[in-house]
Amino acid sequence: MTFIYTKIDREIPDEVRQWLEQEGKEQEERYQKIVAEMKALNPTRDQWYEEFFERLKKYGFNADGDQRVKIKEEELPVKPDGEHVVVY
Amino acid sequence: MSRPHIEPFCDRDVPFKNMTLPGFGSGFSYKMLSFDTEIGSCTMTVQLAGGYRQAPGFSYSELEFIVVEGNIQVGDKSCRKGHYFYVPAGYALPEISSEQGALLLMMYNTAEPSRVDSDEHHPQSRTELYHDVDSFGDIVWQPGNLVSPSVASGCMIKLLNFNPQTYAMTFLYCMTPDFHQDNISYHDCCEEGYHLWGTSWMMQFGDLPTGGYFWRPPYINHGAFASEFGCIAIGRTDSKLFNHFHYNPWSTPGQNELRSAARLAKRDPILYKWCVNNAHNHPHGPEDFEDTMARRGGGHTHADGTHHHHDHNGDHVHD
Repeated sequence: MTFIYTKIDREIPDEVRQWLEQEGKEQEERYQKIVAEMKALNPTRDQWYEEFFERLKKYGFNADGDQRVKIKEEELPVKPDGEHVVVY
Repeated sequence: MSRPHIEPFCDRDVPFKNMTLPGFGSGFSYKMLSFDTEIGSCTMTVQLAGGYRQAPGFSYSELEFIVVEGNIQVGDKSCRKGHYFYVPAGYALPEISSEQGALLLMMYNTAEPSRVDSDEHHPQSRTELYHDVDSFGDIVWQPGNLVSPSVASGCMIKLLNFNPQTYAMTFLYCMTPDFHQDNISYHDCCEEGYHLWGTSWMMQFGDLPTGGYFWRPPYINHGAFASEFGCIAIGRTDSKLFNHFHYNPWSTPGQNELRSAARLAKRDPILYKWCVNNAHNHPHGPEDFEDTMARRGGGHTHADGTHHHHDHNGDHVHD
């Protein structure tokens, strides 16, 4: 998926190809750093999830705009086995 | 792969680099925020040094940009913080300069950054699509409930650009102080955001401060949401934004995608059956007769649904 709306094709010069290759490598490094940081946040995130569930029970889930629907304890999801990731 | 999931990222954490691509001159430095490894399209924070000048010229890529800090001069127009530009590929902008320097957010949508000196538009440019606006001064905030189900009150938007064919849009959004929304959201489209000012919080990723950025592929959970002191940001989607809300933080993108399809099957069962049974789900979608039907003027249709006739010898790209 892209934002494509208008584009004009051209031949890509070699110096531009090198720039593209370098940017691709640097982005891969940034991505891996983000993945590691988000993994390190797992214990804190688990706590945030529990606080979220408490608010759903007490104040409700924002179903549409400010319309809130209270969620019962038995309706809450069960945490699945395996590692939880948030960056894909 | 096109653009990977970049979230969260803060441009304040990395230094500027000098732009080495031809045509940009000295005094143009950037921080890469996200980058499409297939076509080179990208989003960058750009710093123009004081005294920077760029001759009139065009890009082979469609370009959007907004002034984040400082002032720039574009031809005879003085543009302050919040000024937004939508520039079709091949549209020749007049001279751009900045006396005191400026910070910009630049989004090259359809190819890598490029610039060719020219005071004439490229013959293939869709010049009629160009527009710019002082988004801070000349557009009012609207409630965020333009789509349903909607965000909670306190999240408002200003629409900057809209593609009537794909429903892709660019918009400013803000959260008022003490904004909070207790649900988890995902969309059927890519979503991008950059914080011009202020901090917001998302339950998966934590705080996103000034200079904070995300590029989020479809079907990825984000939220609950909150902002203690408020924020202003620029956001984009690459197709229709629909809020799929739920409260399972452990659902995966694959499960979310299936849920979207299941909801389509419930909502539009006849259309869903046609798509599935006829296997008409090829990448470019089924034929829209308005795009292909013979017209008396012999014209053709563009990605935004408009059609016209003109003569040229070069290639012409259709989506």
